[in-house]
Amino acid sequence: MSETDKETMLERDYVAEAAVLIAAGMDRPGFAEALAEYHPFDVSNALITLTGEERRRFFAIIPVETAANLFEHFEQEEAIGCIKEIPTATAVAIIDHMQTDDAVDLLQYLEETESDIDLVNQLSPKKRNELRKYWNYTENEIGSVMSNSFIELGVSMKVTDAMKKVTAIAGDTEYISILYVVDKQKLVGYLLLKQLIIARANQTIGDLMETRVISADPHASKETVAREMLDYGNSSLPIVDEDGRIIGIVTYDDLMDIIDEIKTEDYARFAAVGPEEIRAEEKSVRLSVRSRLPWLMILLGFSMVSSVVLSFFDVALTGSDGVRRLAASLAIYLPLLLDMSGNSGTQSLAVMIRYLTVHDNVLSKEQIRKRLFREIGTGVMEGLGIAAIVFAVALLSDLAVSGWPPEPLTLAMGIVTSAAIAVALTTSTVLGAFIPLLMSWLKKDPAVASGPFITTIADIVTLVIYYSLSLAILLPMYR
Amino acid sequence: MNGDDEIRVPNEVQAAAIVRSDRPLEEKKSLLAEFHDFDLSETLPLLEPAERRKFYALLDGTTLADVFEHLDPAEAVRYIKEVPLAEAATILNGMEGDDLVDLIQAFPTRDERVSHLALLSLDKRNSIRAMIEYDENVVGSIMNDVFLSIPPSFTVKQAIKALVDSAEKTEFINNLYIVENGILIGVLSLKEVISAGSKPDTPIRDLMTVNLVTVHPTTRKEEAVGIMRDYDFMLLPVVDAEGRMLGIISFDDMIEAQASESDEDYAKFAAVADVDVDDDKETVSASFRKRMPWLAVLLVCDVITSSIVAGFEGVIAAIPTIALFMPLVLSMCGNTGTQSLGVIIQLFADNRLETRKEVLTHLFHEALTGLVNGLILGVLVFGLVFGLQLLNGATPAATVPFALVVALAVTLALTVSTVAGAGVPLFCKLLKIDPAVASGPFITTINDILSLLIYFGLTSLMLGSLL
Repeated sequence: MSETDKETMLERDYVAEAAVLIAAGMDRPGFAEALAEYHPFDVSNALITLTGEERRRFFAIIPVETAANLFEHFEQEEAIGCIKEIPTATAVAIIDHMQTDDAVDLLQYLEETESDIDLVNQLSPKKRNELRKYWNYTENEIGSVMSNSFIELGVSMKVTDAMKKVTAIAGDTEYISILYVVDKQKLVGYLLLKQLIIARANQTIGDLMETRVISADPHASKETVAREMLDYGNSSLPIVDEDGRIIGIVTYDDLMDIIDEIKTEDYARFAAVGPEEIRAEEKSVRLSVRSRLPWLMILLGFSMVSSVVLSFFDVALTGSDGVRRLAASLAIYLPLLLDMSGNSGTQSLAVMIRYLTVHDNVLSKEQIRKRLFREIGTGVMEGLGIAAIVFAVALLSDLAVSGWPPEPLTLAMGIVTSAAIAVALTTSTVLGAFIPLLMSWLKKDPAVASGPFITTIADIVTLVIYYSLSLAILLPMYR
Repeated sequence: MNGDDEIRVPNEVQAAAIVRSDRPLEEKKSLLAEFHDFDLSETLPLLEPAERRKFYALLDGTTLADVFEHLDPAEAVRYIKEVPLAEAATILNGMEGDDLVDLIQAFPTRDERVSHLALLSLDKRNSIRAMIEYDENVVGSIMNDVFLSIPPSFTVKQAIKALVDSAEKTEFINNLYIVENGILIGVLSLKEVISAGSKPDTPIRDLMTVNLVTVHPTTRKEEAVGIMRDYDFMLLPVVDAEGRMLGIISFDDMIEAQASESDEDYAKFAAVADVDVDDDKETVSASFRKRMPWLAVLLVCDVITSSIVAGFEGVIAAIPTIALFMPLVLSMCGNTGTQSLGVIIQLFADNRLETRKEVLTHLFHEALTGLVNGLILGVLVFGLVFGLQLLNGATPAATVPFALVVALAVTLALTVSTVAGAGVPLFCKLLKIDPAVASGPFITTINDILSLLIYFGLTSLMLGSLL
């Protein structure tokens, strides 16, 4: 944020204003009107800054619809904290009035204590029914975030009647930009409210509507539906059951939340931490350890593999002093080799994953062939380039220590090391491109599974190449 | 996604078939009108140039403009050149400003840019000129200057009339902006206006919301996304420093901005300058040029690491087995460094490390986290090393001190690397270097050096008798 932006944004602090208004003016006349001027997001943030006593009094006097709306804007923990502060009867009324998807989110995090179960049992039968439907969907399914507050029109309705219906229920409906058209309970089309407004009075909804509806199944993954919505650029997408009935909609604000969730998860994955640590407002050592330790354990398991592979070669490298000297010289370049092949593998992996994402994980044989050939070419060039540099560095550092002419052993060592690096780099570059392809062929998300794999596989391949070459060529010279 | 058919022909293929069919013109028109703009944009590449000309003739100017908005700028340039000039003018003038700017900028030569700019109406040219001046990361570059505005003196009835009159040429009518002398003073949602329809004489001034949430043309897109997400807004008004209403930004542009941000993060972590894969024709040497600079930087770091190992050549020659677990120590420290780097970059992004106290608290937090992780992993490593060495035929008596050294080194090195993973980016920030870009290779190198010193240092200290 630039300085000027900050200043103008700070001209008014709605959260602070709302907090003062609530704390000082709750009992004054005109409070409801004054509060209505503030966006529920600001009011909910203001409430968090107040005392529990103030919150209790606040929820006792405001209309239950307003309270429900505020609860939809709370963070998870805040909502749970508040719902436990207020009397059960009020809490029940508030949850009854909340959007079902938000209510599900809230109830999901309540504990299985008696008072919490009591709360659920006191909800209206209608709400409990709705909630039960949502419980069919897992957190990753689009059904879990759909909303049921939208407007349905009949296909044979006249424009004037439709407009009357919209006018009557718009105030109580969350989303009105797109109206959905049903015929015998089936979703048959949609139209923009804008189109209805400019339509001629004698037309019917059937004349006006668009019939090619892009819809989704409630069990579809959030990510798939988000991608669909991004492509089409509509502000909502209908969710349809097997019988073609519309059972809910997903709107642009859900889409923003889904994208944010995906981004946080992707980010967390790259940083090798749990997404909860990236999201958390307050951090504790326990949370950090819980988020990081599982990853470290997995990665430790992978690292052990390279130690085990190394130990196979180690047997050949103990014994005479000469052999021990070779072992030490090999160890010097070991981190460099491992690191470089890991890096080049990660690069081609990232490029391939992006390529797959752009093409929705579907590639033709021709594309795969071209892609792999290009990675081989790139790997060879990179391998040769890096190998040349490494050889030069090895040679120069030896010359700096022991002067001209270079020892034959040093030369041999340099040649073997750079040859190993050229082969290892090429191999891991190609592997980096190949693994995501394999993952997508196995119908696994290439981005999830590939990261630690590539490093481990590149490590093993590099170790085997480096040590076999060295043992074959250098061991007789050192012995 | 329409569940009915078992095997579903993609929408764009259906549309292409309609274009090619020998149905009467009017029937084709009405069939195509049912398709979404996005599907129609996907149809274009499926058609031959001659078929595309027929396709253009089947759609009206407004629809074509919407179709072109969905195209990739490079594709859009290719197709717009096929269209007769008069029609191209209609399409270009009908496009939204931000997409139009992208299209114009995608023309390869200056001449083509100039000649296509000349097709635009004066209004359109003025409005995109302002957009071109803004950086692509700020909302000014995607601002839309067509919105509904009414004076505060209007009644509900007048507002509804204004709404109906301008609905056709305004893309987003979800909000009415109340503007007095150019200054934005209030906002009213379409829903509120419709619901107030029963009281047509109510003045708008009494209904409108006056606590406005606005952004400036120079506000970063990222920040605007945050505001829209918090408030569940579909539109956000853009005002200048004096509060004059300039335009609106809409959810669709913001969602695109939000989705594309993640690609940049990705490239940074993968150490590729630019993860850009659009072009199937990219050559080997182009990929090489893109990736080699990063590898070269990382190579320099690795040479430093190797020279540290070289310093301990004697230790390794005396106890060659010590080299077995060197990659393990290095990679574990690298991993934990990446973790604390990832966490701190996110904290920077959220502006949550502003005061000295916050910084110190965070470093302390990382130190404790590193210690706990280090202790737990140390115990594990002890067990693994012990087991592996026994399997390799070593005696338990010789293995215990060895496993102890490796385990202790892991604990210590892990703690240090966790702190370094947070400390190095903090230092980068102090030097005003973007911590996300600079820290990766730095942290790896520093962690490598520190962990090697700890590992070999401990070995020489504790296993000195073997040397």
